[in-house]
Amino acid sequence: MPCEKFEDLLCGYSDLSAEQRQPVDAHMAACADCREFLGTLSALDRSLTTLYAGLQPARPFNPASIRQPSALPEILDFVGWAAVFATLLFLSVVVAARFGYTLTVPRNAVWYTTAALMMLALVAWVTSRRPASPSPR
Amino acid sequence: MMDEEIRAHLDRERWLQAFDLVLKQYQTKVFHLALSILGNREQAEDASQEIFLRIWRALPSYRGASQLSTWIFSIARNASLTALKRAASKRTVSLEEPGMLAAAEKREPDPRTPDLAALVQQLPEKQRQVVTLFYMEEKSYEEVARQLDLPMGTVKTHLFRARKELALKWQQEKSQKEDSNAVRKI
Repeated sequence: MPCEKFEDLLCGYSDLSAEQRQPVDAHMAACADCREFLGTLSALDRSLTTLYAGLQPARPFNPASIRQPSALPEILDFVGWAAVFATLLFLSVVVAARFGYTLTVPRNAVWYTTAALMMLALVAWVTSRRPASPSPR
Repeated sequence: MMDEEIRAHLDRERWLQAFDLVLKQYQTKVFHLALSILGNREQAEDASQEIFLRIWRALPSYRGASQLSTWIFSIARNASLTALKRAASKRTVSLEEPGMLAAAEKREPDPRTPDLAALVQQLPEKQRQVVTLFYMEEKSYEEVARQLDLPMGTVKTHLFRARKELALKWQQEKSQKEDSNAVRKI
């Protein structure tokens, strides 16, 4: 075991200036334990370098496993947001009517067909925003 | 330089080209970061795959508010920490298991010398992360500070304490092994 007074200095020995090293070197000349500890630190450095340096992943990431994050034309994005808005509007009207608010829910087929189409557009939009297949290289 | 090139691709929404460069530039670093946090090669390999999938999915949301490396390392740290928690809850990793890295590397332990990888595993978490990353990243304080998002002074302090602890334990174990070998010879 090194001398307690010199333990920290030996741990940071490589960062010491020539002036700071003088008393440490003088002590080590007379102290076998501290000399041994410095030797252990050097050996430790070498062993840690051998153990960890140059480690590479054995399974590099395969780019083929990824898919395009978003390849939507802007117009589709616009339709998507329009569908979100229409759906929310439709749901609000339905919910409000259920709770007895004096909103009249239109009952003609055109209205429902439009709403259904908008909801389908919404589903299509949400699905298409998921990663798509990568474009060929 | 490479980061600028990546950002140029991102600005033009050329995701695949940008991602190719991200892989080229960060694959090893991200693996090192995951390995330093998880301390287990197999888990670090899995985490790296997950990290790059996350990076890929998040590429369009990168707005350039922070440096690209900061953004990537933050995804890598978060994913690795999540993997660490998951592993801890499943108890698939035993800290008592000696030398996980060495085992992963299929190195035969030398009976005359202490198992350094096992000693590293016994260090407090932050010290372990710093010391492994420091040696994996070719002894660069800056790189370790950047990857772990720690001030340089903190990195140096952790490293100093870790080396001291390791050297003392190593010396102790070495002399114990030498003693027991001497007794066996007698």
